[in-house]
Amino acid sequence: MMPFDFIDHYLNTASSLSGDAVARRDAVQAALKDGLPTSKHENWRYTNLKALKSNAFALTSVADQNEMVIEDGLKDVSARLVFINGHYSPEQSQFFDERAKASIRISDEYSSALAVPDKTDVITGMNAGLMQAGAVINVAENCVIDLPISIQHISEGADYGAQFIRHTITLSEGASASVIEAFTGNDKTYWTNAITNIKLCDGAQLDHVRLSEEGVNAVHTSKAFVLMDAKAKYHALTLSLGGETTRFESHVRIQGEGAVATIDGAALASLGTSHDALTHIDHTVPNAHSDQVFRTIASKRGRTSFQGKVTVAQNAQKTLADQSFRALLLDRTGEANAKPELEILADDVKCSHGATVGELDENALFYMQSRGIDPDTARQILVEAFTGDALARLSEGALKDMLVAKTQNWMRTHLTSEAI
Amino acid sequence: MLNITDLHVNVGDSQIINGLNLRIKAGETHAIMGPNGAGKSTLASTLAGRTTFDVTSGSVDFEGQNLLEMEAHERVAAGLFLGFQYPVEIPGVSNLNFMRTAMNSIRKQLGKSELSAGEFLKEVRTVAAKLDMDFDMLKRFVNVGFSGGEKKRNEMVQMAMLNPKLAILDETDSGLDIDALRIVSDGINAQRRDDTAILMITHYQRLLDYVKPDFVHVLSAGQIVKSGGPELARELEEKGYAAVA
Repeated sequence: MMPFDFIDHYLNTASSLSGDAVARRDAVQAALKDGLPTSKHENWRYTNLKALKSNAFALTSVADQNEMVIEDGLKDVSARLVFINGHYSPEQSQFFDERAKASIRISDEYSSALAVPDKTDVITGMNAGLMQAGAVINVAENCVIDLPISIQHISEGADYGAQFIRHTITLSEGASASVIEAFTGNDKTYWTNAITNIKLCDGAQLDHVRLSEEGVNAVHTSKAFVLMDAKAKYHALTLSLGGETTRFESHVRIQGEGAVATIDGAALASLGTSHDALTHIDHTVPNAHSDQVFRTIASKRGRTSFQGKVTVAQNAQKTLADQSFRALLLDRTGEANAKPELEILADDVKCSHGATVGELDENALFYMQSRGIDPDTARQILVEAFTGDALARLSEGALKDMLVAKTQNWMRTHLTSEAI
Repeated sequence: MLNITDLHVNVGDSQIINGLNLRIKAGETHAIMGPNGAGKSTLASTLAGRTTFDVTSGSVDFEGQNLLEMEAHERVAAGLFLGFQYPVEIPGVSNLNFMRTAMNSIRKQLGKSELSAGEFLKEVRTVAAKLDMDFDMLKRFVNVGFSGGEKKRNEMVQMAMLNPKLAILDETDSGLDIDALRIVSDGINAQRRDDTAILMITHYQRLLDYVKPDFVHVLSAGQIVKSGGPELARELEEKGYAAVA
């Protein structure tokens, strides 16, 4: 199934595809052949892509920005990059730090230089072929950018817009940075297809947050592909608060000893929304460490899933790999799915995984109420404590405060007794 | 202060409280004793507003208000406190945050402004010091990893912070060693004033050596079958419930 007429049109009319045109054309044509994944595809079982089955989709175009006010909730950032309808907005973007300015350029050129380490799929292929713009961030050796680089994506288009965004982040040896990608949009039916390719050289450190506050009818699919060299540190947090469907994928290949990957996520789903996380941590060398903490909440008709795969190659001895998934169902119509997968070929490793699905603790609720706390607040406090596990590793500061405030706000809107 | 008349309470299909009458005035300390299964904890939880218990008939008047029509958190704002037999662990929520939220929820219900962080900290430090609770314990998650004694001490800190008119203490003495028992007793005694009342619910007479009640009641099969002064507790301890009630 591939209803996207616009792709044919695009391929036939585009006079020149920027960047590696041949690769782009091949990628799209392969995608067209296979069609969109359905629930029969093992990795896509839980993801609701129904909204994409419309012929009306078209590539998004540049928006009128005269009235736009961009608010990312962060006072201090090193740079604020704004993409509207998949296109970079130089008017709205700002640089506050010379190091950030020197490290960032914007490109609409596809490059296969940082090839995706995992085998590709249709969603990835379409992104390669159709990408409209993205940031290329190259942080020089030992350069430390303290404040976050904020990348804001805003969808303000008409119905059936499809935006393809592709960022590339390279941290040279000993470099350090923090990047937040935030996605918001209007209530039209639209699709955000985002890919972030990341390369962390020896000893580089990246904090990487992805936040979906997409509109209520949006489909968000985003993938991070990460290559880690020796002693690199990658901390990822995905936070799903919006979209009819939000799906975050994290593919991490550890190819240098002593690397540490911590991949965390929280998803809050309610009222027919479906939030999915898929991770694959590939330990290809000895003495590396990965740890994953995912927490999801499914309230009325909300659905969440976590598919977490860890592979440990035969020579990857002394690997430490942990994974914890917990889901909270706040309503009988909520749903949570978990699929942990461990594929371990080495014999001297410590790997663990745990998955639980439960309800709010009635005893704790009564205990709080018997101290004077009203039931709505009590429920919010318990849910916040639950999701707090996933946010715990993010370093303290304005970024974390902002994300905590966003989850609290979601709870206030969705978890009062009237809403449940 | 509290006036319970002909109270009947069901849990599921079985009647646990079966026509109970009790009147508590300001300044009084009462103890309800009784064997396992007599309905002691059901009575405590019903008064605190646990909805899993079904009041089938009777009335409870608290300070001129119909207690049974109030939700649990409203009863707290009205001045009622329940000390739990098994205080609940709440991972991810710090003691300080928990207590501050509780105090401000009550103040909000009473139409008062919120306590500032400074005001709250000052008060909680004073109370914790009086009850020998290390300030570090207050930073930890509510009751998580606390010993039995520490949990009960935490209940006393919460009670002192909330400063209730009527404190109902459900088996507060269970699982305490002698030092913890003394600290908890000090906490209860500090709460005894002319304008407050205490209702202790206990299986053993031990706590009553430290907190001398004005009245002792024997609860059996969901009714108060005998009432008397402190001497009744000793009699129960010596002769057993069967002989006395």
